[in-house]
Amino acid sequence: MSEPVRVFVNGVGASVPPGSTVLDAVTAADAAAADAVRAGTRVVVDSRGLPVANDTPVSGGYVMRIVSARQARATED
Amino acid sequence: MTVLTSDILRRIPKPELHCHLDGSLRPATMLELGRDQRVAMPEDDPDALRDYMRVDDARDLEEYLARFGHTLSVMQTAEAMERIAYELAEDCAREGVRYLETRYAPVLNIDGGLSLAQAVEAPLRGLARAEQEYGITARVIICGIRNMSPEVSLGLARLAVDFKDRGVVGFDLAGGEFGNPASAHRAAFDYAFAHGLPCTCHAGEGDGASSIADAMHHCHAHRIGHGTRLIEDPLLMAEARDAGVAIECCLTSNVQTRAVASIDQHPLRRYMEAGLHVSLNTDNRLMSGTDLVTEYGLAARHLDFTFDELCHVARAGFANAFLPDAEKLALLARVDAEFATLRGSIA
Repeated sequence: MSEPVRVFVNGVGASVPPGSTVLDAVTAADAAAADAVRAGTRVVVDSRGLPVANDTPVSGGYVMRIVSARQARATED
Repeated sequence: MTVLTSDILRRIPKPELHCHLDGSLRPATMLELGRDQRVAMPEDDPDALRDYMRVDDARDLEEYLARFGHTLSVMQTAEAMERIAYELAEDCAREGVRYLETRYAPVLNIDGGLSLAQAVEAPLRGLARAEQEYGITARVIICGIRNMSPEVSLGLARLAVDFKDRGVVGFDLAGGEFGNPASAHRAAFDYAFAHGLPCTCHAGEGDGASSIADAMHHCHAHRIGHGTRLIEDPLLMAEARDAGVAIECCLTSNVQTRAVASIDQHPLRRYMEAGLHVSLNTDNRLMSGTDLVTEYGLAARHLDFTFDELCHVARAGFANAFLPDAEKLALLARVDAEFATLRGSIA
């Protein structure tokens, strides 16, 4: 069996199976946040602050943060 | 406790995330370029020019920025820009910098007839040459200028996106901060962000914490250049921490521009202890008369940073590089191995 992949969600480590997606990783780290991501009220950004698609595959060391959809757009008053 | 000698500070693998190309020339190079281009320099001797260019007498950020006229006067040809970029990366490599992001506004380099594209291509050639010779990874952030029109910034954002996969990794806004809100340039930030280019923004250096909020809330800024006055707004600090916004700290420069009264009063340590991502940077090596080893040493001497804390800051800087994830993970793997080796060698 393949080794789990270690990723970081909001600065907290989580282990997910190889082939997992961003949303899988968020679900493993914080199920409630994953629900908000599915609902579109929160979005996942990468370590540069750029939004990433929920179905993006993750690899070892991948860093992501969950932010409000408003923060990700950051263009509203 | 590890005694932090200059040699140990040099051996710490370091990122340099906030370093202006037009503020980081070697004095001897300025003189040579001035002679070649028939541009008068304020001093004829490298040491005298170094002293002249070091800004210890500025009343504010605007006075600090006035020195750039001399450097920009010899940065109007492709050859000069390539050389300056190469030498900067060479200097960084010798200080133990493994990853460099240098920034500048190419619109300030076209008075001699270069196109904007040529003003980007030339430094990229210099950085690429230094990468091959010194093993450093070096990229460019393109800056808009606050006190220029938003249309100019938008043009620079378009330029940055054009070079996104050729060495440009981010977009920034620099220049006089007070009275020139970043949000006036939001179309440029929107364009960069929408095209997958991460954004940083000078803020909280020449103006207060509200300027940082402006950059975070309206300009997609995931890093803040300087951010010295973020300390004035604890709620915004918490927001920046929770959103993973990283602060690019520049100790010497922040004293010179009077963003802080002294290095002892710099908020770097308080930021780190509050859980913010922070990095240590030079800003302008020439105007600040500094290098990255010196800045790490200042953090150790004036803010009581230990070896482990400096390694933590360096690691956070690498983690907040604007490199795409695959390249960044590879870089982190390399520097993590270096950190482990260094710790083992000095234990």
